[in-house]
Amino acid sequence: MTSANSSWVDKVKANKNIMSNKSLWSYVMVAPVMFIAFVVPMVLLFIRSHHFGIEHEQEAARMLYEKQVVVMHTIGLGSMFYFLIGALGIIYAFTKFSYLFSMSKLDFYLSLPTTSARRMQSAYFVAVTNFITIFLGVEVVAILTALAFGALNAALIIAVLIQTVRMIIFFYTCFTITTLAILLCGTRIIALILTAIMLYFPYIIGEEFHYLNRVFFSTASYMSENTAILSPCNDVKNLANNIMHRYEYYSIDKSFDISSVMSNYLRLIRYDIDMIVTAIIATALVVFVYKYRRAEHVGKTVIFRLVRWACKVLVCVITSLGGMVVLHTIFDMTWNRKLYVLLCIAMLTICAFTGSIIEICLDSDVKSFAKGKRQTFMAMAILLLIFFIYRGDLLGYDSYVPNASSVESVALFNNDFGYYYQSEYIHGFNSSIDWHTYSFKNMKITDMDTFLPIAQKSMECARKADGDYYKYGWEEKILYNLKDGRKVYRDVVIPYDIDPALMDKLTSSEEFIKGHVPCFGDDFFRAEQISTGEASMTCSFPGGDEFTTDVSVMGDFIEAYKQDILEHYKFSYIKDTSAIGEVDFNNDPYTSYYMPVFENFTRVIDVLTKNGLYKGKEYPVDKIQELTVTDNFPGYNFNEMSLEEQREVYDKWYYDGKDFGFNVETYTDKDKIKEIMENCIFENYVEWENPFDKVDKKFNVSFDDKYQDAFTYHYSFKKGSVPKFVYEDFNK
Amino acid sequence: MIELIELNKAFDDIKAVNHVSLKIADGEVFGLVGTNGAGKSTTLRIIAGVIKPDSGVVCVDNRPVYDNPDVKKDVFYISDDQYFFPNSTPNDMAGFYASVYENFDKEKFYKFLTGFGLDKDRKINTFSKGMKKQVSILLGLCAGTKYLLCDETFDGLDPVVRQGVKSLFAAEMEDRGLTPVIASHNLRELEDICDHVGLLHKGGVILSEDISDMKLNMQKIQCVFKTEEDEKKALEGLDVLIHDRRGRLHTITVRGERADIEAAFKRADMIFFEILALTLEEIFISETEVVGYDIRKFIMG
Repeated sequence: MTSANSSWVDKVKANKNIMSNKSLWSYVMVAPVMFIAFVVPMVLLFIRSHHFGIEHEQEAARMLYEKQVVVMHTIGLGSMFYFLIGALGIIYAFTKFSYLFSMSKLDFYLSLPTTSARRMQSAYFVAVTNFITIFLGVEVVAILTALAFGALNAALIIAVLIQTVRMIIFFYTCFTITTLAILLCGTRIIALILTAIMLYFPYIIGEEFHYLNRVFFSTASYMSENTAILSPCNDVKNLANNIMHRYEYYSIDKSFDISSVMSNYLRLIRYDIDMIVTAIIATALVVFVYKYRRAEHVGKTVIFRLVRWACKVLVCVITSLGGMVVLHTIFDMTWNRKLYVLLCIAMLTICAFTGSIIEICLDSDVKSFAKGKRQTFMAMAILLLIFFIYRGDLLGYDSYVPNASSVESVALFNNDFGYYYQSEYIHGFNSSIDWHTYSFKNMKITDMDTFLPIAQKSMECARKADGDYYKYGWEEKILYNLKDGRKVYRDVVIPYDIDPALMDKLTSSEEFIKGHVPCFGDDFFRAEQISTGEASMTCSFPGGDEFTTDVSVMGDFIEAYKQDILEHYKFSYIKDTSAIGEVDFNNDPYTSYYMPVFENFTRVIDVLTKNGLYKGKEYPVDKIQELTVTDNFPGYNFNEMSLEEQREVYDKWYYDGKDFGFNVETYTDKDKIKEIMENCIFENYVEWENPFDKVDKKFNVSFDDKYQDAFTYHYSFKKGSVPKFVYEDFNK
Repeated sequence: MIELIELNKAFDDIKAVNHVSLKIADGEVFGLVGTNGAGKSTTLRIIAGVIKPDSGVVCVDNRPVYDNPDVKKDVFYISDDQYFFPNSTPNDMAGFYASVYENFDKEKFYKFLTGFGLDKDRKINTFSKGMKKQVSILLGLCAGTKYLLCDETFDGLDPVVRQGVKSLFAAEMEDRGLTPVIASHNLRELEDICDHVGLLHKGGVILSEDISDMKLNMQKIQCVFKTEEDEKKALEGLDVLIHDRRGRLHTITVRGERADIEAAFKRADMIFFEILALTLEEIFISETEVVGYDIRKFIMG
C-alpha cells in the first residue's frame, strides 16, 4: 500500500482511505448548502430584477446591469457568502481532526498502519479535494445559470474566477488555522475559542491600537486604516462595503469591463496576499506542532505550556485594551486628563479579572482563579508599557513629520469646507464621488518645501489645541502618500497665525486646487454627464435667487468656475473675502454641490448675468419692512476686546452653549434700516474662517425675506461700523 | 517477538510506565495483569504505536513500532473502548479494515459473525456493550495480523461467548501463529487462556513468568502447629509472602517448589497440614501485597 517506490501523491492517495471514511455525508450536507447559498439566490434575484425591469420599463442595458450586479454579489468579487466558506473551513477541520479530542478515536486512528505525517496529509488531501470538488461543482452550475440568464461577460467571468481562487484560499486558510488550534488544544470548546482568537486577534488588536491612537494622540485621524497583518478576516470591511455601497464600485457604463474589475480587485489584493502569507505560516506551524502532538494530550485544555502562557497574556491584553476603548467611548464627551489615571486603573483591573476568568475556564475549576499570576503580571507589564508609550508618546506619533525624501505626495483636506462637499455615495448610476475623501484621492502635492513647514506648525498647534482646535486654528486632515506605499493620516490644526505667504503658495498651486475643488476631478460635472441626468442649477445671491435646467448654461458655468477658481483661489483671498453668493449644482434629484461665488469670479458672474441668473450682490434695501438686531453678548464691548478675547467669548456661546443673555432691537424706520444695511455684509466666509477682524460678532442682523418669500437673512456689521444709534438703543 | 526494553512513560508528574522490560514470545498468549493504574493500557498503547515512550525501546520483530506503518500492519489493537464509525455496521467496519489491512478476511468475518449470532448489517451503535466487544474481537481476529493486542477485551463477555472467543484464539494460534496480548485485571479470565503473565504494579514489572512456573513456585499452606516452636521450625528459611492467623489455623503463602515446602514443614510437629492450589488471583494478590498493595488495607483501613 505504501511501498518505498511510490510517489508522495500515491502514498497520500493510498492513505486517504484512513481519513476519508464516511465522507459521503459532506457531499450530502455541504453541496446543498453551497447550492442554496450560491445558486438559489442568484436565480431568485435574476427573476426579481427581470420582473422589476419589466414593471418599471427599464432599458435593456439597465436590466443587464442589474443581472450583472447579481452575479457580482453572489459568485463575483463582492460575494455575500464569503464567510460561509470560512465557516466551512472551520467545520471541515473539526470534522477531520476531531479524533484528537477522543482517546478511543486516537486509539483507533493511531494504531492503524500509517504514519502521523501521512495521516495529516491524507486529512488535508481529503478535506481540500472534497471542498474543491463540491465548490467547483456548484460554481459551474452557478456560471451556467448566469450564462443562461445572459448575465455574464468576459469581465464578470474574470471576477468570478478570481473570487473562486480567493474562496479556495480562504477555505484553506480557515481550515489550517482551525487545524492549528485543534492541535494546540485537547478539548473542542477551547479549540473553538482559540480558532476565533487566531482568526481575529490581529484585526482586533489593530482596531484597538487604531482607537487608542485617537484616545491618546491629538493628531490621530479616524481616516487611518487598520493595517493588521496575518488577519484572514480583514476582508470583513470590504465585504460590508460591497454590500452596503454596492454601486460605489460598479456603475452601469463602466463597471463590468475587465479594467474596472481588475482595478477593483487590486484594491483588495493586499488582503489576499496577507491571507496567503497567513496560510503559509499556519501550514508551517501545523507541520511543526503535529510532530509534537501526542495521544496523551487529549483532554488537556491548552496542550503546550508556552502556548497557554501566550494565549493568556494575549487575551488579557486584548480584553484590557478593549475595556479601555469601551471606557473611553463612555466618557468621550466628558473626557479630561484625570481620566487617563482611571483608564490605567481600569485596564489593570480588567487584566486581573480576565486572567482569573481564563484560569477558571482552562481548568474548569473556580478554585483556579488565583493561578497563573506570573502570566497576569506579564500581561499587566505589557499593558503598562503600551499605556506609557501612548501616554508619553514615546514613539513620536504626535510629532511625526516625514522626511521630504520619503514622501511621494501629500494631500490636505479642510474639514470646514465639508458643507460644500455633500456626502452622497449613491447618486444614480452616473458618478461615484465620495466628497469626503475627494482630496485624498485627487490631491497630489509634491512641493514639500512649502508643505512640510506648514505640517510642522500644524502638528504643534494640534498638540497645543488638544481637541479644542477652534481656539487655535483650522482643523485639517493630512495624508502622506509615502514612497514605500504606506498612507499616513494625521489630523492637524493650522494655526490662525500661520504665515499667509506660505499658505498662499501652497493653496494657489494647481495641484492643490484641482485636488481641493471637486469640479476638476470628476465626471460629475462633465457636459455629457449633466445632459444624461436630471441636472439643475440654483443661483442664490442677495439680489435674488434664480433657477435653470439649461444644460449648455450649466456647461458654461462649470468651465467659467474652473477658470475663476484656478485664477483666484488662494488662502488669503478666500480667508478674507466673504462669498457674494452660491450656486447649488444638482446633477440629479439626490445630490447637490454648493459652489461659492466670490466677487472677483468675473467669468462666472458674466455667464450668470448673460443668462439672467445673477441678480446682484446687494439685497434691495427698500424691500425690507422690518429688521432686527440682536446683541448676543450684553455687557461685552467687542471694540475694546482683543481678537483672542472676542473669540473666546464667542466660542463659549457658539460651541459650549453658554448663555450670555441677549437683547433684541427691532427697526422699521427705513433710514435706520438703510444705514444698518450699508454697514453690514452678508457673512459668507467659506473657508479658513476667522472673521473676528472683519465683522463684529457681538451683533447679528436679520430680516425675513418677504421680497422673495424665502428664508430669514442674516447679516453682520463690518468691524467698527456699528451705527451709533444701535449702541444707544441697546444702552437705553 | 515483541520486546520492551526499559520503557518509561510519564503523564505530567505521573509515572505510568516505569522501567518496564518484557519479552512476548511468538505463539503464546501473553497476559498483562496489574492493579488499577498499573500501566497496562499505557504499555499496550505503546506496543500498538499509539503512544510514544519517553525513553526505552519497543520492538516488534526487531523493528521499532512508533510511526512505523510496516510494523503496524502486523499489529491489531483493540482498545477497552473500541471506536466504530458513527452509524456504521459490522459490514462497514469490515470494509474499512479490509482497505487498511491487506490480509483482512471478510469471508471469515461474516462466518464468525453468523456463529456469534451478530447481524452484519445492523448498526453497531444499537449493539450491547458485549456485542460491540465481540465485533471488535472478530474484526481483530480477521485482520490477519500477527499480533492482537486486547485491552480489557474480555470484560462484559458472557461465559459462553468467552469460551467461544478462546476457542477462536486457539484456532488462530494454531492456524497462523497468532500472538494475542491480553491486558486485564480480571485474573480469572486470563487463568485458563494465558501461557505467560506479566504482572505490573505502579508502572513497573513485578514478575513475568509462565503461569505453570508461577504456580509451581508459589504454595499456599493451611496448617495448625502444635507449639510456637514448631511454627518457627517450619518457617525457618522459607520465603513467606503472606502469613494469616485465625485462631490456631495458619494460612501461609510461601514462594518455593512444593517438595521443598513439604520438606520444610516436616521439621515441625503439626496437628493439621494441607497444601492448597493457588489461583492466579491469589498469586496476584500475594505478589502485589509484597510490594505494598494490600487490598485489605483499603477495605479495613
